[in-house]
Amino acid sequence: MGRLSGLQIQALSLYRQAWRAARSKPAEEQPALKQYIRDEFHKHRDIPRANMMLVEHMLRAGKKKLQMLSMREVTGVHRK
Amino acid sequence: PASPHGNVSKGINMLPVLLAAGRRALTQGPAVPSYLASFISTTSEAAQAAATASKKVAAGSTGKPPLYKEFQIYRWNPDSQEAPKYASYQVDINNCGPMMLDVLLKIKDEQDQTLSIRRSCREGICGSCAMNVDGQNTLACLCKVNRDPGHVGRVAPLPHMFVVKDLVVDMANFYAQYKSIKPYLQKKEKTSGTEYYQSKESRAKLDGLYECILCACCSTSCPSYWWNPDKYLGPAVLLAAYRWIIDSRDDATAERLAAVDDAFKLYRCKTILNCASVCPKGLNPAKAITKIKQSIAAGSPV
Repeated sequence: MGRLSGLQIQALSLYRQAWRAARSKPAEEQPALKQYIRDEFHKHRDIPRANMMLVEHMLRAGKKKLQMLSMREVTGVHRK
Repeated sequence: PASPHGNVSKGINMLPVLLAAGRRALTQGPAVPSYLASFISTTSEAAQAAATASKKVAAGSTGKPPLYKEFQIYRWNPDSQEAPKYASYQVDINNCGPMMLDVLLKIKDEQDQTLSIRRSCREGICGSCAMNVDGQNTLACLCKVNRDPGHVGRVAPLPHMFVVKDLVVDMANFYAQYKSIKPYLQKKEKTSGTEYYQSKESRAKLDGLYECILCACCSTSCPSYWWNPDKYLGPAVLLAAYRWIIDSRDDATAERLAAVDDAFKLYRCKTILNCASVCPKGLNPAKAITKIKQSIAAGSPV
């Protein structure tokens, strides 16, 4: 893949943090949570590398979602 | 007779129904349902009257001639991959409310439903519609529209804030900074359950501080806050900090002064004074910041 750019490293780091947050939740909720995290990242996988503004916007939004997910009171995610 | 068609304004009114009935009267003769018979007469004079009424609505309910003015509004959609741009809209300001918020809602209503704005009270008390109009941070609901048709109005989001969409900005950092100064009463002893008394002079010290609506106009007009938004607290939050420092009912004054006594949290203020000139409520955050600095130098609230 070659050297990862700073933004790519941040995106991967966010993914790992979200993954670890999901692992701290009750076991029966974890698969749904992990699928949610994957889908959220895969939705925007086609943003071109050069569009830094949009990637940074997505990272900020992702960090906010991660903050909410990390709250002790949040136990799972359910989607229709 | 003139056509009763026209740009009938949206809204729940009986006019379209009446016009349709009037038109039917013209072309087909009386076909009015019995429950409407008392409202509609089916002579042609009545139909003409309805037609002129509709024309008046089409021209605009104020009856003034249309006066078009151009507005350039910052647009950015995170879902599209385009760069942000200023989109140009022509608005008839003679058939619109006097404030910038009225113009924005008219654009959203009639021209471009995708325009995103925050707004709530429309009277300058909630602080939701804070934005940059013609280079100045104000509340859109209190900002009178410049009536000169040659002037191009320019509306942008609050400067140096991350944009969520169009004119909506991310206020999370601002709110987190406000939370960090502990904007609540802190008492040393357990509460007795009765009111905490305060003299009139002590209460007068809070005037000009409690009225802050946290619109963020001042903080986002401060160049020092632009360059250090994560570390410098900004005028709005420092005003709130001072409001709690000089509240005579609060017991944690020394801790509050110590918490804010920091090279970045407080002393990034270089008395630029943009905050005082821009506050839509007429408050003076710069004066409060000076008082905090004096309090720290004196050791007790000034």
